[in-house]
Amino acid sequence: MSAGDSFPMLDLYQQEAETHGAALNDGVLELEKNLEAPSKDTLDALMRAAHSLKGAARIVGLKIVGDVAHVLEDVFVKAGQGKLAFAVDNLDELLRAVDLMVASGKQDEAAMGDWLKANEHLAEDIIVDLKAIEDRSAKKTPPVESPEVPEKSSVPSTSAVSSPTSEIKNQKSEINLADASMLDLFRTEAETQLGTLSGGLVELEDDPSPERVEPLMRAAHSLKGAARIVGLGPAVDLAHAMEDVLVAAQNGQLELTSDGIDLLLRATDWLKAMSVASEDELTAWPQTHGDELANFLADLKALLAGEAPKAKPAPQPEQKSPEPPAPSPAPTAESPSSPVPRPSPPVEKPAKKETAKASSGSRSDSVVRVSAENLNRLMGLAAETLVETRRLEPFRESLLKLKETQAELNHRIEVAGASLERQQLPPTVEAELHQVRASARQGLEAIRRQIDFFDSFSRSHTLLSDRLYREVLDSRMRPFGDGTVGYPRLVRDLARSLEKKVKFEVEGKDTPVDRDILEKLDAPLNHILRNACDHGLETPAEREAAGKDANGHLSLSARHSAGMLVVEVKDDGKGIDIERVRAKVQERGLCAADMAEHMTEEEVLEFLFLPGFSTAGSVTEISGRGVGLDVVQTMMQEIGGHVRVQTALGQGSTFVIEVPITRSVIRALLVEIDGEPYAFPLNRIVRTLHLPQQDVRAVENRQYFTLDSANVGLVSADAALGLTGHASSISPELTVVVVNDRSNLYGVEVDKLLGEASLVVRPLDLRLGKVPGISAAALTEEGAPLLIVDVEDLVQAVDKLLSGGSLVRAERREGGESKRQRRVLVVDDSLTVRETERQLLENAGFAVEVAVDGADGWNAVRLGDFDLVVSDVDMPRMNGFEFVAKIRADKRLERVPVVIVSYKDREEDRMKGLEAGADYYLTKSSFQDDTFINAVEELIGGAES
Amino acid sequence: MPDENHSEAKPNGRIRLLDRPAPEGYLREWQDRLRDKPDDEVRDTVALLVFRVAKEWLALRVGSVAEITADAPVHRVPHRTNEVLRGIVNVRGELQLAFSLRAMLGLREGSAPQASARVYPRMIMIASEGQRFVTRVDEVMGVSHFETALMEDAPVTVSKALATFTRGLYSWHDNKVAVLDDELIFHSLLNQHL
Repeated sequence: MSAGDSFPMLDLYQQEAETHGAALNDGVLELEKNLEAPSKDTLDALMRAAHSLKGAARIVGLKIVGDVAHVLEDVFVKAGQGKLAFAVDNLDELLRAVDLMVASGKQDEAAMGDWLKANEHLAEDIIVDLKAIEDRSAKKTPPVESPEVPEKSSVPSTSAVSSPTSEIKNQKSEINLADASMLDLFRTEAETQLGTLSGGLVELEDDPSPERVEPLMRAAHSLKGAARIVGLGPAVDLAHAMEDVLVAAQNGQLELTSDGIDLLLRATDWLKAMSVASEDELTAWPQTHGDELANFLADLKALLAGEAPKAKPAPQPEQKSPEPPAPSPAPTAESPSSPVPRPSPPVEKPAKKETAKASSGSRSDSVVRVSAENLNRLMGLAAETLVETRRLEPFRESLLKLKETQAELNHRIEVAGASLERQQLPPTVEAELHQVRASARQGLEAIRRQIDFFDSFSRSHTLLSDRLYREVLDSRMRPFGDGTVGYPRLVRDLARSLEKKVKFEVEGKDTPVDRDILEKLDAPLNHILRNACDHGLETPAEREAAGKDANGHLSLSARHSAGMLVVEVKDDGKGIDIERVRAKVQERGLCAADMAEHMTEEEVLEFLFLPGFSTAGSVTEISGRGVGLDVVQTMMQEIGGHVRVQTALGQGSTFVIEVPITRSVIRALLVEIDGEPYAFPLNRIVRTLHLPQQDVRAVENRQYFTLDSANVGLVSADAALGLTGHASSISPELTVVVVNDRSNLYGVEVDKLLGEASLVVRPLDLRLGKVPGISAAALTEEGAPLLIVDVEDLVQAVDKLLSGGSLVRAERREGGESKRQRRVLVVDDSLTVRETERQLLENAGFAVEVAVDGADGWNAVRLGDFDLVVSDVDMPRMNGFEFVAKIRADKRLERVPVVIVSYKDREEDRMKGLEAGADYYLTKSSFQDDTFINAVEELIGGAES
Repeated sequence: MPDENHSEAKPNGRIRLLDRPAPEGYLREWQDRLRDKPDDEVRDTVALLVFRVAKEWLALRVGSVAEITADAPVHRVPHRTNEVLRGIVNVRGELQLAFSLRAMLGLREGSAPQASARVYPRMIMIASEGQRFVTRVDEVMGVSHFETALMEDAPVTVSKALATFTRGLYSWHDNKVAVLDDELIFHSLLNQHL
């Protein structure tokens, strides 16, 4: 963390400006909902935010921001006291001030000086305006209700913690965001519709038939409706203009050239960017992207006008078949800003073919969004059900035992009865005997029935829980096609810029793939497709010269094979010259010359995946983007897969990627380490073996053994994982798991092998951070937790251990025993102030802990054994006075000295602080000189005791 | 029913049970009772889950307890497990972090004096603001209601750590139950042990 000279701790200030800026934005919008009687909480929060920003800005040295914040705080304080009421147009002034402060948090060190200069006048204006609010309000009665209010409040924002929505006015368009959940819906919709547009436009280039235009037009139309619902004006305008062009194209009034499609694609991209922008970005969208929008609208209008002059296309896209160009009342020329009739698709008249629109996604299966947490929980419950099911079998066995016991009893009764009957029995005894026999038979019969009943229950329940479990696992799967939406576009644009002709196909779109894997495939596929377009496929001229179709063929396919997902990227380009690669291998001295001579083609091609190995003569813009084939290989290996290439000179190349279909279930070897179960993923295990003690050789500190005439380093898992380990039993044999990391082998000694199992991988609790040597957790069949070893990580730890780094561990507690550092707790809700105080105190040699408000501080002070507490006054949850009072009321803490540091410098504030029990009351100006540190040292002495 | 008495009470001549004259002093008694409403009629009570760790009887706000399950094995996590943070444990198919309340409170090993024949250790899961932790306790007694007014201060004699985490004491079946500060437990786990 480097603090600059002119604006120290600007990075902290930036964070603070963001938080408090958002709070201010929220608060002002909250005000707007209830202008006449704003809630006390809202005003308090506003006041606190302005107050904190003021302090932070002054500490950093941003005078104008501090001044604006100061006036703003005054305004809110007065409003809180009922001395001031806001009018509707005041809100714009407030927001202008807030914007200034938010903007101040976005400047970096270099730009800050200029920014301050540039905004000095603006700040002054704002201050004048804010002061005017106070004056006007003082004179005037409460504001007149504006007609704008009801309209705006129609935007539902019920969630209490709604994310910062704000509103900014612009000459032309206004973005007034609906609440966050609606925006999410819009994003989902935009993703689908834009996918349709982008894919469809590319296809349109090959085949511009009206049937192909129709779904695009519907997509644009739906998008327009969705954007309107959430109030994204620019998106409405653009989607509308696109729709007009598409309608014209469908009606045959306009022929879409490649340039036209280019324009539409760029517009699609622009909408895409907008649909993924954050809410803050969206609010500022008209400013930041207004010019682009204007250009798009103008270009689209020109496109429309150029090809179909006068004939105005109908804005209603419902017609299925091309109709004669009927002039429509809606004037296209003004479409961008003119109100569009019947904007939102869901409420349109049902008379026309609405059903076609409803299924606009043309997708067979609808997709529902489920949070990852929900899914994990569901998975956990399903797995637990499966574990519980395993208890049914032992129960069935106990029932069978019971049946046997009963049968045995019945048999004895029969035998006894028979021998009794041989004697003359009194009739009463005979009747008893009869009874006993009947009961015994009934008992046995009942048990048999129970067993039958239980059998059928157990069977169906086991089946059900198994199905449930599989189904939940499958819900992680998505069709491969979900990940390939962007590729046709990518290939098309590349081909155009390279002046090549490429026919691109995707096969196996329905192949299910785990969503994580699908994500991980994106960058590598991107790279390989780029490579294929750039280096693989030739120009049309070259192709024709070679007697091939001028159109290059490029295909991407996915299928399942032997439990793996196989993805192939195949081109019919020039292929890879294996002899050139071989020559390069020799030239680079990557292996002995005669060895290179004898390598098979496949072995030679492997070299393509080595870092820094490129056969391309020149790094072009397209494929020289930093992701090399070596990175592709590494990425695939990380998820347990690999990539290889097949090629035939002059006929093309095929890249084959093999990855596991899912990473949520792995095959693993369970072992016991230090008395607890751990798992090694099978794909990282070379072999396991029992190693006689005498075969272990020690060189210096390292242990080795020989495997297939190679030396393999050996380390105990206890040590590698940093476990204390039991005193190793002196058994004649060691149990060793041999793992590989690329080319090296390592032996890991474990207590014993437990067996192989399929494990459902659970992420480790995030709160634990990255645990060295461990990648994830899982449950055993019995439902006990186990940890999955991160082989790569473990191997690194092993390396460190083998090179003698293990001894470092013991020196953790270096020195520090004789002298104890005095401990200070700093409590302040402003990050900047906290860090200032922390730095001042740490520079003076104190040990410092921080807490973010009074409640947090109250928890910390009870646990921390502090010599001194430094606290702010204005804080959420528990203010400084309450906090100090609580400390003074606690028997164990009553003697801990407390320093209050506040912006408030009035005498009455000081008195209030001292009455609450503070030993010192300082203002924040005390940071400028030594006052603060002097006070601390006066109270508790120096930094060490 | 014979209707010789008080027949004037009902126009139809029938008399019912509730038409009887009230016993002597009955009305006065009720007047007094309603007028002098005793103060302790409305009592603030708090529902607490009472359990035992080693020799100590402890309690947590019912609102802070998310689940109580059978005892389950805790798996240590290398480089993370310490005295207080014990590792991971399976609760209803989900892995949760387990901690030792005994270590956190500085309690010594031991069992209750009148440990009955059937005492089951349990896992208690506490939750607050999306944070969850699980701890093993030696015995769970169930939920009891206590009058907040009867809470006593923790004596200074108990272990320092226990006193720090104790909000106060209640008398319960000849024992003292220490009410733990759940917020402080979360604070301690998140800031001191993770």
